[in-house]
Amino acid sequence: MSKFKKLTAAVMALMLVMCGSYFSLMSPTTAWSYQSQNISGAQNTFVFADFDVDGEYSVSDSIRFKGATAFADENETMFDSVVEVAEVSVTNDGGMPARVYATVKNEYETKGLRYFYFTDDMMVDDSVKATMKKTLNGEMTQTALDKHNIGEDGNSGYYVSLNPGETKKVKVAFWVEYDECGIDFAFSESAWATIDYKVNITMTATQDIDGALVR
Amino acid sequence: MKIKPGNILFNMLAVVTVLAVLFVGFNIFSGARGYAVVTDSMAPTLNRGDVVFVKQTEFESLNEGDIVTVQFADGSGFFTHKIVSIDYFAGAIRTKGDANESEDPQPSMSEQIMGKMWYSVPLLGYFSIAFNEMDVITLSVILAVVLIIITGASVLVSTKRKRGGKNE
Repeated sequence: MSKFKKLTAAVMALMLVMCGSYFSLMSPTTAWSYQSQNISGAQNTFVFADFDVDGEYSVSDSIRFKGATAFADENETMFDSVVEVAEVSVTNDGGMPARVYATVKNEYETKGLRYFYFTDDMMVDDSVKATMKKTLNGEMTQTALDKHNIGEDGNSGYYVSLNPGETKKVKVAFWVEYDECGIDFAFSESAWATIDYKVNITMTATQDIDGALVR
Repeated sequence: MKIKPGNILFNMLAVVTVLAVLFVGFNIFSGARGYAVVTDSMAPTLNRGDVVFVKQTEFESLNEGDIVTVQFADGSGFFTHKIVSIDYFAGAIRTKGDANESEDPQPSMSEQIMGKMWYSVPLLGYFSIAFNEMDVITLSVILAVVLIIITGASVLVSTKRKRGGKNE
């Protein structure tokens, strides 16, 4: 190979590397995209890949509570005994970091139903009530609970981040407030009675960026 | 006439380099800016792995149906979607991905718009996707493998030359 050819090849290789760098360093353009899946007791896994908004499932389920309770009542000691926890295994099978939100719909708008979206790593003393108290900074109010679950704008709130290939267990704790549920025998602390509520939990995976969720 | 493999490789490298330089130069001098499409929210118009080239456009000349690249309000990134409505008075647009069922949750202001799509090229975006998704360890391993291959090839060539010289 002549010296000229060697020099030309080196220059061409350098230019190719520069062109490759031009394409490699391009800013990625993503979009608001998400995938939703409703979860029932029987269907407790949510696997999502590259977000595809066509993936819709409509499954509702009933929750049978053993009794009513109150999350703001400091003297209510049976809270953790009557709380019902739905557990969902979520997997990010795609190639991008993602976050998973939870949306709960009270199907018949029956009064008194509350929920709290959380993960095991938030747990304090194995108690949902203690976990809520810590998470809500001691502010045991409906406003603080709503802010945690759905955010001030209704389109944000607590979310679980998942890297590509990661699986996490997410949980939603449900309970019924005794002074709101309108059932006579439940107007006391942790009234022990069977109460059925029909709920619909929707898990929504979005890009790992604010503003992608529309509830 | 015997064709040397070295010459074929050299000519191929020359053609690829000239095409690449012309393409990059064309985009730089025309003022277009490229963005690698990472999601399928604009499918089938734009797919993951495409590169979309956009050019700055006056807000007043934008129309419904134009595809625009917009910077997120917090400056954290970009998205490329189709305009579904324009409020010229407020200087705001509403956008939607072709594959999405609903409009994007927030309107975008004129100052967030990076430009209107000029054209797109499939597959080129995978350079950027691969680069962004690879961690330092993976990049180091790839670099090491490339260096080993280059070193091995040069050792092989020089050994062959030496043997050829002795034979002669």
